[in-house]
Amino acid sequence: MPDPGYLMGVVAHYQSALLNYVSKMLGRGDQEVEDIVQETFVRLHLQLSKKGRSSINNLAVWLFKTAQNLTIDSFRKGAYRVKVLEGAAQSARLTNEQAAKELDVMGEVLRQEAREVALRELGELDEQYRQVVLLKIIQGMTLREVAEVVGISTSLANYRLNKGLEELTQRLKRAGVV
Amino acid sequence: MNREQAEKLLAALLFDELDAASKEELTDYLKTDDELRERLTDMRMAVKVTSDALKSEPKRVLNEDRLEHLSLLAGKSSHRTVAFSFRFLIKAAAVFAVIALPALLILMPSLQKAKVSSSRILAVHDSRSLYDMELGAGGIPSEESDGGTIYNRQEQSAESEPQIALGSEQPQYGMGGRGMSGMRGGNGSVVSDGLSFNTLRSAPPPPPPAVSVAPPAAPATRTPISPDASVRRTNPAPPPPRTAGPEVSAGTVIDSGVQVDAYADKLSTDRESSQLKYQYDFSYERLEDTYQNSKPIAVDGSVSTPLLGDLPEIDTLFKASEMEAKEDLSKLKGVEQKTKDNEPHEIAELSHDKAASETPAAAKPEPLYAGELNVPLQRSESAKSPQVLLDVSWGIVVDELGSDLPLGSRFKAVPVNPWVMTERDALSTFALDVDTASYTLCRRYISSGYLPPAGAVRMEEFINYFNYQYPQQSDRPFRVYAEAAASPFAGQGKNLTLLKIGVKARTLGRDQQKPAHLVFVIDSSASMGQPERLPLIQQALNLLMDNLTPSDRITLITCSDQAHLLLDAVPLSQQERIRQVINAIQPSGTTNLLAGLQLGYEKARRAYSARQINRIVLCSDGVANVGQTEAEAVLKAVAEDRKQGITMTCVGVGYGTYNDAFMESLANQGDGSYVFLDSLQQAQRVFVEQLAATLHTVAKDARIQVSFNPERVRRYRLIGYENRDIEDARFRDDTIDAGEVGSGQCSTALYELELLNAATENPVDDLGTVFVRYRNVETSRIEEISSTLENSILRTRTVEDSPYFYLAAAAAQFAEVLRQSEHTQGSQLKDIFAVAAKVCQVLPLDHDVSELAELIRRSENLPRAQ
Repeated sequence: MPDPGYLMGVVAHYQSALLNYVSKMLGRGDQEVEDIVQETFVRLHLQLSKKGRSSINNLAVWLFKTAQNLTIDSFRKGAYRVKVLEGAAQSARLTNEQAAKELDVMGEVLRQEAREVALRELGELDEQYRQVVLLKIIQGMTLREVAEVVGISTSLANYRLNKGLEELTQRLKRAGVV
Repeated sequence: MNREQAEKLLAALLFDELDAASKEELTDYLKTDDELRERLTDMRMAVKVTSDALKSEPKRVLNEDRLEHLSLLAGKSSHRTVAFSFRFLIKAAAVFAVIALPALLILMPSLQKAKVSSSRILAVHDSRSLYDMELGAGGIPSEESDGGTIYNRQEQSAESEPQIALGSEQPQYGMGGRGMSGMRGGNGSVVSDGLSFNTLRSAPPPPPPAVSVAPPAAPATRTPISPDASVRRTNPAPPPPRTAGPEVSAGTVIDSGVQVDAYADKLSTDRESSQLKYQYDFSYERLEDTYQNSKPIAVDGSVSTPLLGDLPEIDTLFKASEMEAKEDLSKLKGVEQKTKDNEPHEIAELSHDKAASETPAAAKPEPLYAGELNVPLQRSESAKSPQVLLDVSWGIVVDELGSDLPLGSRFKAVPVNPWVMTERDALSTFALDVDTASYTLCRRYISSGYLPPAGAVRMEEFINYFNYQYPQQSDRPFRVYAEAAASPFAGQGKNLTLLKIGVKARTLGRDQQKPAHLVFVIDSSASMGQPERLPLIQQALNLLMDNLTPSDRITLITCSDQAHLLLDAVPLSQQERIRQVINAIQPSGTTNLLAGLQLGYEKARRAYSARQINRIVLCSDGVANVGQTEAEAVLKAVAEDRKQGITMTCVGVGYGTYNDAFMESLANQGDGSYVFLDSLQQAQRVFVEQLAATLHTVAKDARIQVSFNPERVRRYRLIGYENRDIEDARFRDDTIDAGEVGSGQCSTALYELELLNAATENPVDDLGTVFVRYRNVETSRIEEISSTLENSILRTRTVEDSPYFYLAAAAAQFAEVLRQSEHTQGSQLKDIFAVAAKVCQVLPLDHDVSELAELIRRSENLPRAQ
């Protein structure tokens, strides 16, 4: 029996990042995202109880990889794919509310618009690029960890990261944010 | 290294994943390749914006059921979790884990193993709490007090000392509650929080050595050589006061943030309401003490003010980094570039190893913050030479986004009206103005702790905001009311007279009201997403729906990238449908106001009927950034329609990037009125109470001409109406475009006069004559009325017998001071406050008056917004 506090600690620490990541990958933020994240933790629990903590080398990589695979499964199940725009707008609205609760200092709005554009453009990014960019930025993984999560070689991860960033930059440039 | 190779390494350089050798090589190469270097800069910016965007995402948590499921799964009893809030659940889980440590220590066969795993758990918690703080709370990270909570709670369960724990918990989790909590806690309590933590930290029952290292280590990874950050750590700021729910006006939020404890103690008892309703203690002197103590909000958001918690975190970081940049520059001058680059990184690495040898990911700093906090280095270098941008490879470059973007609202300042010698020009002519937007906007500024930019103050709109209770009348389209007395704010030895001329339009009865076709053009761009923008408009429209008749029709157009027609002349009988559509508007994209207006005018034209009110209601923050953005261009495009009697009301919302000049000019030229919404109360006032007025026009192109008698008046000065000026000779030129006045509306003008022979007893001559010329909407005829300014209006007045006279004087003088007009005659805000406070006593029921007094009181010592 793994230590209950451990699992909940992991949940507390990783849920937000995982939810964000999965929703960005899936292109929406709904029950399915929560399903996937919950299932990720359930699997972690199973893994811990069966094989113990030592079986997991890098917790973050393990979690993101599992979440990643579950996301792909959900794609395969024929789940419809909605453009990210919707999800981005949704979260942008939430962010807005949050941001506006704080003092609305001048310029915040413009920054806010830049953020929204960034989220939107990120959502438009090709999936394989989006994936590495997100892992890099949300979780701050090293290239090797990213490669491990995605299941590709480090050099390919590097290639995709470069490509993805370049495309993102181009898009943001076109949108006038950069 | 050739270009192809360099291109492949850009991202790695950006995230500092290169070994020293290739980094050097790449850096060298980049010095020779301008284009690639530029690309790197852009890329860096893109990463910065994106990470900023991702970072500002709301912190997400699984829903309660799921969490409970997981905790059940983990074998943890869930009876506690149900009762408590969500956040608490997470914290509780963390606390549990800490409590479980001693147990682990005992149970685990190998002590060594136990140490390692416990260090891992703590590391998890610690970075989690940071994560919480930085990502979720968005305020000032009070890491220590957070840590303190955990330890306190541990202490509590271990030794049953409940009193230790209670202090720290409330301010922590209570943040989501009312703005009050911030005030209540204040600096003091939080600091003591930190203290209790410090003392307890050495005490906690058996913390393994690794454990005690963990908490300080993790912050260190984030804040390598940041003096500011370390200050923040040891001296945590109070949690930011927050207000929940968009239904509370943003003004209130700021309101509570601005308050300082000393003042709060005095007034806090009845600040429940979102209005500026305070118990007045009318002696200015008495208030002055508290006043002195209350710190003005520094524009730079200096760390010590409680307001800091309210500033968006980003700004704080920028500010901090600027300071650091300066310090670093002096500190690091002459030190080799490379060392600088590596230094923070090494520290980070080091603490990693200490904090979590087994689970690097758990203790790994979020790169976003690491990147942000390393700004100083990069900035200090870039301060040295423009080339250096590429020397910085650690983390993500943060440059001040928006530094090159147009910040702030745009206002157009018009010179203040000068004194005019009556002998030279006895006529003063201007268009009537019933707008009040300037006052509302300035109120918004002041309640957020800034004086409005001088250009935002239109004095006539300050004067017109108040209800001077001119008698209701319905027989004549206009009536003129005049009062005069010695000017309450004239300087020493100056013998000036203040003349107040009120023009009140006829009040239309309900049966005289025509049905309306209202075309709402709603700006639904992303900038409208804040609660005081689009959601406020939505609420206001819902209010309006309650007050329209079933025969009225609504057309609804939103404009973001393009204009969208959501409702096309739908009668109010389908109210449910209209409401649904209104409430479903979501902000996104850019603002193409022109497209929206064009579509709006087209729809208005199609549904046009002379027997109804044809009106366009434009709701926007005025930040038009796509299509033609100049008011003239927009209006030119719809000029034909305007001539046929399709009028426009401009409803301005938002604050910050609000473009006041644009909206005002749209309304002025679009034959319309202009209102600014800053709160639901204002929406109520505009959309419900003044509904009849804003919808039912009594007179068009109304202008006023005052002809002063040179025998009596030596010189005069019109207060406000600067941009409403009309040439004297064109007063009877009926093609000019002047003001529109709705049912029951009134417009008040104040003149400051210097009289001749003021001392003469019983003068015979009148002061002058007032002419009002307008097109009667009912008959479509031009009419003109005149009214003599008789001597009887001039007498000695006191606040008690003429409160409205003094109210107008105070409002005007306040505007003059805010406007930085040269005619303030050295009057101080406290003098104005004294008058306003007296008026308050005479008119205790008028909230607008008490609000004015409060605004004046607050304006003292405020910094001016740019």
